[in-house]
Amino acid sequence: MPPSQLKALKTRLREKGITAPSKTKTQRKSDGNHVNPKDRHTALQQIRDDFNPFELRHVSTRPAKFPSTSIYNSAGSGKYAKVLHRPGVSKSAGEDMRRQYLLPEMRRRNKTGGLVDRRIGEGDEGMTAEQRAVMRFTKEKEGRRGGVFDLEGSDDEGGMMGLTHGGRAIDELEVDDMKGSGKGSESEDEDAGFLVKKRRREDEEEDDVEEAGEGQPDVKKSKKEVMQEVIAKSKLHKYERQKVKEDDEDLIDKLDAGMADLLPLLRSQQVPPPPPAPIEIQPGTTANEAGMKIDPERQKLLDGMDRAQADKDYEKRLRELAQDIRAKPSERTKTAEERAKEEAERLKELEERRSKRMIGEELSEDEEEERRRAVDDEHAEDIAVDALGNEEVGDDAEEFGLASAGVESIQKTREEVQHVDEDEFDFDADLVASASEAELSDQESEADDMSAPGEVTEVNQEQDEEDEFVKGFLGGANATPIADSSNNPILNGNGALAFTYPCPRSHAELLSIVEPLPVQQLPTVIQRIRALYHPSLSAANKEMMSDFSRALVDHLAYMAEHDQPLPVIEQVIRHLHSLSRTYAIPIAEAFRTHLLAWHERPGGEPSKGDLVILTAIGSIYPTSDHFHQIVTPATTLMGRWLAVNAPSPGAKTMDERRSRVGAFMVGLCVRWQALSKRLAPEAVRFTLRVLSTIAATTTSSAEVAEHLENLTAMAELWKAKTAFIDIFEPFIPMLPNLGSAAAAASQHLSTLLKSSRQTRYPLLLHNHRPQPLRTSNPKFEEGFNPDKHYDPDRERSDAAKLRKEVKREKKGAVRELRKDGAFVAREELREKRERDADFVKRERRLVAEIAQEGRENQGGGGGKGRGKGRR
Amino acid sequence: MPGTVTNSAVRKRKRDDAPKMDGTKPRKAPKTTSTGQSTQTRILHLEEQILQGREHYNNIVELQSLVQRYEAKPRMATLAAVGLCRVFCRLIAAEALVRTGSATAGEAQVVQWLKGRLREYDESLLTWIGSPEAAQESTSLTLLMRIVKAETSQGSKRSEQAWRTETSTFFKLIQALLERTNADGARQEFGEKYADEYDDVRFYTFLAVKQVLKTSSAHSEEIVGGAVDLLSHMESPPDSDYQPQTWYSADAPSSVPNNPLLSLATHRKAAQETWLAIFRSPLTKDNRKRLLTLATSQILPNFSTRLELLADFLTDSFNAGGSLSLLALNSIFHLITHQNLDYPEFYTKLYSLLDEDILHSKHRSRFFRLLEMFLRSEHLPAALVASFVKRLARLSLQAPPGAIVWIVPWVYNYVKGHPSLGFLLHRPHHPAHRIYSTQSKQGSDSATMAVKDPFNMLESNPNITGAIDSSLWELETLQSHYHPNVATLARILGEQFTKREYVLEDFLDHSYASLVGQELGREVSGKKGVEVEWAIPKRIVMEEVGEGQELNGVGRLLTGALEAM
Repeated sequence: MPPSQLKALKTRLREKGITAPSKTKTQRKSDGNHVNPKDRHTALQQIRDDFNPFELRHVSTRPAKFPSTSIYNSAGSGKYAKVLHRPGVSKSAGEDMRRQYLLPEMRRRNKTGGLVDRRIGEGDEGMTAEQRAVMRFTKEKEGRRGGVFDLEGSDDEGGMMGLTHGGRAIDELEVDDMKGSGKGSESEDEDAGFLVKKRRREDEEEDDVEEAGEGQPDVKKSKKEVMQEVIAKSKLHKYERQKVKEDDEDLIDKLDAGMADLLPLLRSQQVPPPPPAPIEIQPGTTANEAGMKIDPERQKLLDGMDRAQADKDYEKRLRELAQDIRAKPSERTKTAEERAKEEAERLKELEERRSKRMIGEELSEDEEEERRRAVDDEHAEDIAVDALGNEEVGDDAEEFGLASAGVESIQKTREEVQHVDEDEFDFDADLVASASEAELSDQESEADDMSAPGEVTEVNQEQDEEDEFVKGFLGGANATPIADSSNNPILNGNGALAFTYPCPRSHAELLSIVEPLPVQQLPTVIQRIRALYHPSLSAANKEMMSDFSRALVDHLAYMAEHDQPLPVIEQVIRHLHSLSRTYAIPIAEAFRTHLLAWHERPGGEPSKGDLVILTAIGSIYPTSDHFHQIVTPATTLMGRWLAVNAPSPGAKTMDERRSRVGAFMVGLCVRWQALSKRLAPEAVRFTLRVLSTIAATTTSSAEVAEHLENLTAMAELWKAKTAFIDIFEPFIPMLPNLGSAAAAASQHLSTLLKSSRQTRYPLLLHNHRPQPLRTSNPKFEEGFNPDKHYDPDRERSDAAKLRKEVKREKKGAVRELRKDGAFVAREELREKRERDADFVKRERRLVAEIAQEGRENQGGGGGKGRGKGRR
Repeated sequence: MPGTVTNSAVRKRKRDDAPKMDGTKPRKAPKTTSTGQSTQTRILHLEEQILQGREHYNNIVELQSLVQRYEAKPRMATLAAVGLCRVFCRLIAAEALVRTGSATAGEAQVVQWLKGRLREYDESLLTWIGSPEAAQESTSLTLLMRIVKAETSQGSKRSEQAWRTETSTFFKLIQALLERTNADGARQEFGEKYADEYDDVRFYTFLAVKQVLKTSSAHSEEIVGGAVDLLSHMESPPDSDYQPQTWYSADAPSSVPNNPLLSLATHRKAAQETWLAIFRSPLTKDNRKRLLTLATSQILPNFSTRLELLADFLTDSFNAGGSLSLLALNSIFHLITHQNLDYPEFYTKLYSLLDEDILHSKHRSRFFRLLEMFLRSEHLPAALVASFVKRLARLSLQAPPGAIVWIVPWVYNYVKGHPSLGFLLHRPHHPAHRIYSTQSKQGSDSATMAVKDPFNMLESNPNITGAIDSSLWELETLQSHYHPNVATLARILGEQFTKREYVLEDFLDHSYASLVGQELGREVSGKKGVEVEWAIPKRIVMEEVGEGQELNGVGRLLTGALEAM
């Protein structure tokens, strides 16, 4: 049986040395370890706690979570163990709080209106009427004295001013919060925050009252106030100094004003009166300003001009100053060697760019373009998804740029929509063109400014080439036009050739100029127009020239349709080439328009113009590019024509037109691929079919020669391809039938085939490094804490946090409300009891009184009644 | 108010099928003033009179004459036809056209006369079928079918006769439908409105078509065309668990317990017989094509017993070549997979279809679709699939981009599905490979030794072409195709095979038009600008050397082409 509580208490007390058996004085003195009162107090508290098991709750109600998983949370050392809860204390605190706030509220329930007497000391029982009166009087006095705007008041009154909120200083507000949290820490931590929040309003009200009582003069100044005072004083001194200075200046000004009058006196010579003040000086200016020389800008500023405007002006000036030309060394004349080296470097760079484009690598500046395309594709995909209605099916073909037919039509409609406001569109394109090509045209005039030597040479080169086309009109009479020497001998003597023309802006206008002239003079006309409307002469010329370039493309086709001589066409193509340096986009658009017209022509037959256009495209644009906005569609169109027009295997006759146009296209295809060596299956098929048809029939040797030439060129072009044998073996059996003309080609082909056979081995396309299996290691957390959430998704974890908080708050609120309810019920019951007791008491008293009276009335004969009444 | 009343009366009468003559008509007559209205009234009057008694039967002749004058007065003729139809329907229902045993000679004569009039009426209506006017055609078809309904609703024996005999209205109608080449609309209407809706109509249509095909010899091609057209408009026959239950004639065969019409087998047999009759008759190419497109959906389900006959027909069609072979193969494949037909030559035949022109033909995408379907099974021998792959690769060397764009992902899918085809793309040196054993010379460094392609393009049996030992150099070469998209696509064969499968349907319908249109439809991007060749050549079409008066290669070709144009 354990010892009784009392005994245990006694033993504990004795153990702690609080109730030691009484000692003698000497003993006590000799005893060094005298228990000081503080220790004694803690010891007592501990004993108290130990003996009241309900006073302290040691551990959280929550069980230790996964003790094995966390080093922090193993038995007893977890963070929960650190918190000691005192349910009794927190409960009584809550009770007090309720009594303090809820009870008055409850009493005032169902009572509307009324006055709150906020006079000092009104609700306070501990004050006498006199005290109240005194306090009120002093307060009143203070209020008078401490007006904020009271100029006569002392400075430290002003120093008290500061930021306020709701009429109270910010500092006090903070203090308030602190007080609240301090109060809350005593109660259960879950409840505390809520209680504080709930009661804050009342607190504030109370503080208001308290504040009213503050501000007594005898309160010791805080450090802050002292500092404020010091600051105020220094300010005052500063102000005084300033004032003195201003006074001095005033005086000086006054004296200066008098100087003007004084000077003649000093010189003892009268001068005519000063000229009227400059216009910018306003009549209202003071005398001192009139006399002094003031920068007009500054004057304006002083007169109240917009400050921002002035700043802007200033910035502008500054920038202008910074950009002022400074002296710098002029370009040194380069030696021939240097020039050759630069030229070589330039060529190398260009070649590098070209080969990059050939592989299909995007140049760095093209990234934007690619992004745009990607966006476009995405958009198209969206549309496709919408149209199909099921989104899990992405179009596989889309990845390779093969938009499905539906998408294409949508794109078309989109384009049509854009074309509604075509003017705007064109205008836009022009703007862009001028922006991107600005350097090209500007370079010509500002070539000296360029610093990079490579670019300079490029510019020079271009300028040279430009000169070749424009010279003689811009450069002076000493330069002879190259067209003149080659095929245009009648230029000089011809009076019909005007020197100025209006710039033709459409093909019709161009025709009206060119029509009456001999064809041979066309290059000269173009030359003159280009010189007359050179973009460096006028800003508007740029637009005119871009229109002119379009017209020139149209004219190219027109010339071919009307069988005009090839040398002239060649010159026009060269002009276009040079023009497309500057007006690349308009010319490209014009070419594409022609291609589109060919594409949409029923039967897909090219016109003569289209053939020349194709020739021009091959010359103007880099045909080796992996993708080119003009070359690619042009090649595809040629491929289509070749595919459609290849004679069927059993054909007995060969259409001459087809044969020759085909030969031209195959020839173009081969030439275009001279660098990139790409395969054109249609060209092979067409040549094969044509040759086999010719072998079966008999045709003119000229055609055969063309096709054989093409065949040899193709074989030479694709001799490195692995499928060379498969491509060209079908030609072998038919070549002997073509007669002697084919002997050379046959010989050549069989040699190539032989060498190709000796170098072919099976494909090894998949020499990839084996891909490792994808491993997904679990992410290991150093010092894992099960209470922490390791959610990588920040949004989700935040949401979870918030949810948890809301839940906790809700629980707290519910608990609080419940406690409030219990409190209210308890209070009501108590009041009811009191009322009842009161009632019973009064009743008794009344009854007793009545009985008394009865007794008095009846006198002695009321024995029975008395007995009854008592019962 | 009176106007509305008459209108409603007219509408009501038109809607009502039975010839109901109530009092509204005479009341309405005086209100109409135009001559057309008066004729209309007269028609109605005549019609009413006929129904009143035998003495007015001659009115039929009058109405008939009106009917025949369709060209002059179409509206009147239509009205008269409708009226006559009502009259005949009533007469048939009243058994006025039946000679009873107890009839007198006079009565018999009347019956005979009425029958003659009915035939005459039929004939005139049949002439309307095939007319370019859709309304007229439709009217005649409806009226005739109403007569058929009346005829076939008079007891089982007589209705059977009305369905089957060659003089019956129904038979003549079918005959007319088949014979008129331009009666497409009527055939479609008949198929949709009657044959699809009513089981008995369908059944007897099959019988009648067969009968017509048997009897008529002249212009048989057109008749067959008509028959194919008519049958194509009929819905595919019902499922196997279907119980025939909708009847056109009023006395349903379902009332008779053992009626053969009640079993689906009878229906199927009739259909099968009819199709066979069509197969036997001379067929034009168009008809054959039509038949083949119908084959899987409408013909095959009907054939339960004589599959070999159908297979023969399909084989014949295959031998006709062109797109027909393709369609025939489709049907044969259906037979193989669904009806368990044994057809050993199937893949050889399919292989033989792969020639140079198939990739350029306009039904390329259909062919690809079917090819993909036929070869999809992973149980096919790899050698066979390899033959197809290799042959297509070889053909793609001369193919348009639209075809290559499909072939490359197709090959990808099959290499993925048949791992042994991976050697076509990657074959490291190993003596076990046949291709290395056929090396021409035994050198020391055998790994770099040239090899001979074991694939035999001329071999017709896909199982022994040797393609499985070859390599797909062709597709490797196509990685440098002139069109950037095609070239990029061809590169997938050289990359890691990480994608499970390409959806071939997305690659099917590409053509030159779509490739060019796609690019040209886009506007020139202003931001990037257009790359321009940096060097301006001195000469383009002229010879570089000399005075520049000689044409160079391009110039010669260009002048040649320009001259030829």
